[in-house]
Amino acid sequence: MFAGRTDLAISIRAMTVAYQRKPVLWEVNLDIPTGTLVGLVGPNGAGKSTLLKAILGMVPTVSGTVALFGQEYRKVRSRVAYVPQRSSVDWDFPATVRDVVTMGTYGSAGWFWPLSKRDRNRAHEAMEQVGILDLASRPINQLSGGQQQRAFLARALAQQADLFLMDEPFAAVDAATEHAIVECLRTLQKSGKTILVVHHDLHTVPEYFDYLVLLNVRTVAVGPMAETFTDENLRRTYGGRLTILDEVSEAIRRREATRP
Amino acid sequence: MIMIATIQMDFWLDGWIIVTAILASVSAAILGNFLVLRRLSLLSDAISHSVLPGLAAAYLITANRYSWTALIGAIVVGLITVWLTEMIGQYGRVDEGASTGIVFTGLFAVGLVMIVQAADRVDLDPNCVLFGDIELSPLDSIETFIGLVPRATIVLTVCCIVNALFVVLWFRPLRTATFDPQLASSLGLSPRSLHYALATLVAVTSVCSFEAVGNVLVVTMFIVPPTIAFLLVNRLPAMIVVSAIVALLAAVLGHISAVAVPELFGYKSTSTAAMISVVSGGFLAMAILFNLKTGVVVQALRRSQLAWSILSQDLLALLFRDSERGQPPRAIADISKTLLSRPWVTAMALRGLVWQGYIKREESSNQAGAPAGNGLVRYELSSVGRRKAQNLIRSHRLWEQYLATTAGAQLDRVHAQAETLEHFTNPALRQQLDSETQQPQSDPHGKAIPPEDSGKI
Amino acid sequence: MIATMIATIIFATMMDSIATIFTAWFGFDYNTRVVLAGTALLGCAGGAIGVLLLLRKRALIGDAIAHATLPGLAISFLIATGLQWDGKSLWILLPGAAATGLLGAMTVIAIRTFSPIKEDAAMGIVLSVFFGAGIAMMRIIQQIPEGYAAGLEGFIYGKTASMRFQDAWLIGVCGAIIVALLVLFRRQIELLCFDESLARTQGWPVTLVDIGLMAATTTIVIVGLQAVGMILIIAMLIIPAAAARFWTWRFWPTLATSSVIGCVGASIGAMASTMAEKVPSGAAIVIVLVVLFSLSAIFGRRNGIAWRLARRFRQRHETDGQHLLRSIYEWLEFQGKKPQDFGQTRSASFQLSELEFVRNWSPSRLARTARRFERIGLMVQVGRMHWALTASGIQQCVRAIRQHRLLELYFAEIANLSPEAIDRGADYSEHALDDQMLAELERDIAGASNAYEVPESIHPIGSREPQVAQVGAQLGTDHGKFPKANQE
Repeated sequence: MFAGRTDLAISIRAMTVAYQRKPVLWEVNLDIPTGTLVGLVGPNGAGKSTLLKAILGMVPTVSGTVALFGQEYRKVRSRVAYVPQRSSVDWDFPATVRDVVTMGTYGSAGWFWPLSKRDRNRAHEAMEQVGILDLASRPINQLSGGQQQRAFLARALAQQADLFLMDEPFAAVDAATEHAIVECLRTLQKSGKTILVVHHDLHTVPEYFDYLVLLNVRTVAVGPMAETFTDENLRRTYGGRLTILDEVSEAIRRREATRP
Repeated sequence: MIMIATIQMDFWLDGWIIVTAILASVSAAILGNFLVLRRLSLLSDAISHSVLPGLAAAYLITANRYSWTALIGAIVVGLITVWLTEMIGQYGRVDEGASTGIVFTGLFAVGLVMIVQAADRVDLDPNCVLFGDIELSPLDSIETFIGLVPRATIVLTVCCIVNALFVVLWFRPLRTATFDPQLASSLGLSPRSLHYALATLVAVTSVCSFEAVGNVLVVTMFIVPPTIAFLLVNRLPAMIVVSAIVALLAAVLGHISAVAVPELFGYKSTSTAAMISVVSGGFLAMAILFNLKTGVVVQALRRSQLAWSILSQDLLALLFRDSERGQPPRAIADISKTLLSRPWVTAMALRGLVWQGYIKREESSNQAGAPAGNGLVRYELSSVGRRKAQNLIRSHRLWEQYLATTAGAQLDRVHAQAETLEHFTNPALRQQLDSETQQPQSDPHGKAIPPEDSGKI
Repeated sequence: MIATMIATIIFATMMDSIATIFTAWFGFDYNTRVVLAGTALLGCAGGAIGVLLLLRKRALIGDAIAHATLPGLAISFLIATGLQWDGKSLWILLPGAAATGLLGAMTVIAIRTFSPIKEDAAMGIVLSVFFGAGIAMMRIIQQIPEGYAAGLEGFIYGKTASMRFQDAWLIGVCGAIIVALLVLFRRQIELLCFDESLARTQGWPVTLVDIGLMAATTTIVIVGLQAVGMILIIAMLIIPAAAARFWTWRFWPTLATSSVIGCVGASIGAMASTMAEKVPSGAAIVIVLVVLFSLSAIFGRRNGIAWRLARRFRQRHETDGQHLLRSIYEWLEFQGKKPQDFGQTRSASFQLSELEFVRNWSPSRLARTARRFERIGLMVQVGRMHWALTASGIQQCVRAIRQHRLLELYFAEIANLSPEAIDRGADYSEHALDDQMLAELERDIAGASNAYEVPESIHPIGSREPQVAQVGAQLGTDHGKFPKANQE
């Protein structure tokens, strides 16, 4: 373990995650300094969502270590906020926007005591920050895609975390919401927070983020945007030079399924 | 206490039956909310079937309907059911529905064999297990401080209180884990433990209710009242309360109809539990049709109301345009053809407009060329009607202008688009359109845009 | 050894049961035999339809349909009795049951279409409400003089004993028709199950087939009511299909296996119920099916637990073998006595204890692997403690080491991994390389022009701990930090 490199928000060594013997993440190494707004980019099936989940311990890893702010995830749980994909939730659920945002405060407010004024204020401020305060009492099944995303973001803000892990927050969201969210993220970054965002649109990557992780099952390149966002790196991420590894994994999987 | 002319109900007997039915229904409904929201409705079906062997075993051991052994047996079986379902789903690579089916049918079969084998040794009728014998519950009463209370009632009261406490105290974890299990686990909860806890309480409730409403019918109470509540309200606390109320009403009405309805056909009363199911099904049907959010009937009414209002507005606009162009009055058939509606609908709309005071109906005297004996009917806009029509035309032409210039739409399309948009344009929006297009005087087709008529003198 | 013993025991038990069944069969009278045949055919059809339901993810719709048949039975009975007909005749009861069963299925679809209620809740609603209506009517039937002895409850739990000859005949015919239809429309069914979108774009009526599937399910349900009862009929649709998935994954073999399992399970269960007292036939059939499912889960050729464990053991053996061969090569290489693949019949000798890589193996593991190699002719013992590779041993050895080193090179140059990662990667992948991939690998690395040449090792041989600085210099990286992108 890395005894306290607290200037690194995320520090991963040699992480391998396999699903049914097919590697989804392979020997991933990366260091994310605190206070950066990081874009996590790669082709489909590159393991980007899995990387977030592996950091949070939601998927089992074959090998590797993760340190957040120099410590195990379990110890710094309250400093990490996870914003999953919108589709991971059933929006028909009977709740208002305020209910959803308030869920973010449960980590510190506790699960059983009534909410204090401070917690209620946190939720209020979070909704204000992302611009959905006027929707606070609206049932979530009446929200548009962009509003849903902003509600999720508000929930993460209400957690008052130091590290934000966001899975495709800009997927199927209108341009106005996208800009609003980016602004919000920049504000967060200025106040010293670290944000790791899985992003799918290469065109906007250099504009939105100042740090880049190129992932295609393994980390192709990690570093500040200017140095890392090069043609060569992009080619290696999105190109097909890893075919042998794919073939081998496929062969292993097939072997497992057929031979005794 | 309730005396309906031809039926007789004994206050003491029926009263306790109703109370027991209410308790059983409400206990199940409270938990059912979380099952329905997590798409686990059929888990209640599965667990209520699979508690059978546990019950049978307990019964064989203790020869007592309600015993701690039965309770423990129920809890164990409930946990086993969930665990086995997960295992089979994972290792058998079958989907959850299939693995549920395998587990509960297997366990139920085992239980059935146990019961039938021991049927003479033990007074446990398989039919009773299936649909209960709540009518007989008052016969098994014990003495308490308020008099003779059926044992089933006492057991169910405790069960109901436990379920209510669980739901109230664990409300936040349950809600979070139900809505977003990933968030829940990242906040430190264990959705899995909550799942097992819920399953345990489902098993316990099934066991406590099996004598009152039987195995299959408790499933109704787990699913139907929460579903009704889901259709009616938008927030979880309200949903839980509404489901409890619906369960209560269904229980009361169910028992009454169990006694009353067969009488109408000349039979004696039928199974209360069964009628509770049927009654709640009826409530659900009404909820599906009439609920304000998504009710089938409500939506149909809304649609026709909207169509009506659009037609009325189109009529006013037509009259306005006719007067603009100086055209003679039209016959109803002609109007209908222009507006693409049916003559009788048009006639009714016209009458409605007259009644509302937007147009005036005038029978003019015979004119040359008119069919003999028929006066030609003229419709004219009243001043209020004229105002409304004028604003409608203004909306239309402002939209045309906006679409053609600012939005860059094709000229031959703007009319059709404006036709739709005009009906949903209020004065504020007109103001906006006006300023966006720099106060135009005419629309792209050259027609003058009438000024805003707000009705102020 | 143990495996053989277990296999013998199982085989003996099976033979014993089969013998019992045979003798019992001939002890039955003609009627009973017909009933059993009918039930067997029912199991066949149920297994087949069950596979389709499973593939379309509609496993539990059968449960809803089954419970929805109860009001139909009651209504048919009441009407028939009112008209002075034989209320207990299957020809009257079953159409009523089918009607409400199908009505139930359509209600599920209607609920889903006209409200935001989800599918599982819709099924639960139909299941319980229709069943409640049925029970309410049954209680009234019990008050009718003809109704009391109607035995309509046999439909809930199943009672083959009360099955009459015509009823069994009906079951058999329905089952046979369904199987025939499946065979007839096999192409369409296959297409629809596997590629619904393709089928749709080609104009196939997907909804029609769904309805057909519902109709077939309903038929199975209603003819199975007598044999298995409505609560457990769902088992006949689900369990054989789920069990079949442990044997194969191809479409038609799955259907066939499922039919066979259903048939066997139904027959044995029905027989057991007839022979034993007070065992409801439905329960007996389900229990037998569950046993068959468990056996499939353990011994099924495709995914059974027993086979998975066996596979894992075999893989470990293979891996061990590869590691042993590699360490033999490296040790000999270090001493300058590399085994050559052409002409050499005996490699230089070595001691097992000298081999680096397998140093952390337990002695028994080492001895076992060595002895296995000896058995298959890869190694011979040339002295008290010394071994040597045979010609075929050399061949295998060279192949193994070449694969490994090529992969290492690949990972180092192309995949840009750290040294430890290279090790792990090569270890992981080399077991699955075949010749074609090997050829590709050589093409990619463009330097191994000689098919027999073994590349130099990236790591200094003789020691498994890569000399960090040296390796780092070779790869141009720094140990501890991840490799930078543009340094290649």
